[in-house]
Amino acid sequence: MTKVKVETPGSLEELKQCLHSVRDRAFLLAGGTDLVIKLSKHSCEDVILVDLSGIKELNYIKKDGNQISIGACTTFSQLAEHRLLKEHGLGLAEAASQMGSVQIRNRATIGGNIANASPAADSLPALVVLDAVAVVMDKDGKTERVPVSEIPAAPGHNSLRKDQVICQISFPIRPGCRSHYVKLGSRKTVTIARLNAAICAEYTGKNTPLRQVKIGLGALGPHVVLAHEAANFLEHTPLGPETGEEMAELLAREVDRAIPGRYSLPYKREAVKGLAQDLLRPFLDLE
Amino acid sequence: MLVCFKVNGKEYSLDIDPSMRLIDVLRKKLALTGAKEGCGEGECGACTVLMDGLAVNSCLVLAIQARGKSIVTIEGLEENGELDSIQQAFIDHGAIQCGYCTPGMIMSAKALLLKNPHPGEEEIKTALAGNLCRCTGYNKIVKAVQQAADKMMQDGTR
Repeated sequence: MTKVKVETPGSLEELKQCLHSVRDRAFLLAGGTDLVIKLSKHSCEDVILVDLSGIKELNYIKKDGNQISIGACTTFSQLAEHRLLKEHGLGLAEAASQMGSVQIRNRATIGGNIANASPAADSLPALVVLDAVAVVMDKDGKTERVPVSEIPAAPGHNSLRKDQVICQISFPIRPGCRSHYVKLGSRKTVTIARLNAAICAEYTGKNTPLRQVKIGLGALGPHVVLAHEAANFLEHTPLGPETGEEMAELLAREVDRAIPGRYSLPYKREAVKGLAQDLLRPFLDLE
Repeated sequence: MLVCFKVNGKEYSLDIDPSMRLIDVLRKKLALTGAKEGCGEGECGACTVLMDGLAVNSCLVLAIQARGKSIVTIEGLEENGELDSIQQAFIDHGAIQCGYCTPGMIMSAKALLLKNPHPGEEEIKTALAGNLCRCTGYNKIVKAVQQAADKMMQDGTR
């Protein structure tokens, strides 16, 4: 049976001291919805856990000038319901509301979802199209800003150093821009994404092209795939009922490039066409 | 490691192995066996309890993380021998067959009604999406929650 030691810092100051004394040998525990399963199911050598859940300074959603800042230990339930996200980062709120179950959303954190680096993570496509940046702190309190897109390194592994912790995620507010998130799983709820996608774009009016378009596809590999060809197409095509069909073909080609030879390619290149229509529908409904 | 929290209104101060999950402490230390370990992965919801009013999978909460919190289990719902409205509604509607999912289902329903006393059918289904039942086909469970909500509105109770 795994022998576990748990450190329980109550503040960022105490966290720094913890990181000094244990970090190279410790796992960071936030909501626990991924890590507690790994601890229970896999007998391994003794572990040290640093429990972040008692650090209230890491739980917030606020507007800081022209950006939205989110504490790393903010839960998915909080993300799904917060008015600031519904107004300025709807794609992230939608991603949060479609992750797991109520029970899981009440515990899972945005920092944990990013650091867990699952290729199917729900928050990642939404965060990438919002140009989200993570503020990462080391054991000396030194902080650096890392694009969220650069944190996953390989499936289940992040690019952070052993003594680093994600403290905050922030993204800029772009006036006029709207974001959305869609997901396909083996069932309607409480399902790992087989394919997910997010879009962020500025709607400029009926029968006009979208502007500043970013489209991210997830569950294709360790990193969110940015669909530049589809985004460019949307920026040069007046938005109409037929736009979705051509965009669907472009996203299918993006999937072809992302996962050549993968057994799931035939499924995902067709499934992404449905997601293309789903991503555009909120913009078409504005007309 | 010492951990202090409240369970069903009673304060506890327990010396536990830090590797214990909340479900382990509830079942093995406190003999509150209503919460069941159906999967140990947060998929089935049979271990659902309330933590500070929110439904959580107790198999995914390390017991240490419950420090300072107020936990409510299925055993904490009845008051002076009288069943909670949700428990009674489950019985009235035949929403219980083998009973294994029932504590978790009722706790998820309780969490919903604490936050939203007048839920629609889709809201009930969303709240219970993390609770699996292999017996009933869910219809009677959803109706039971609806009935409990209606009764609580009539009685003015929560």
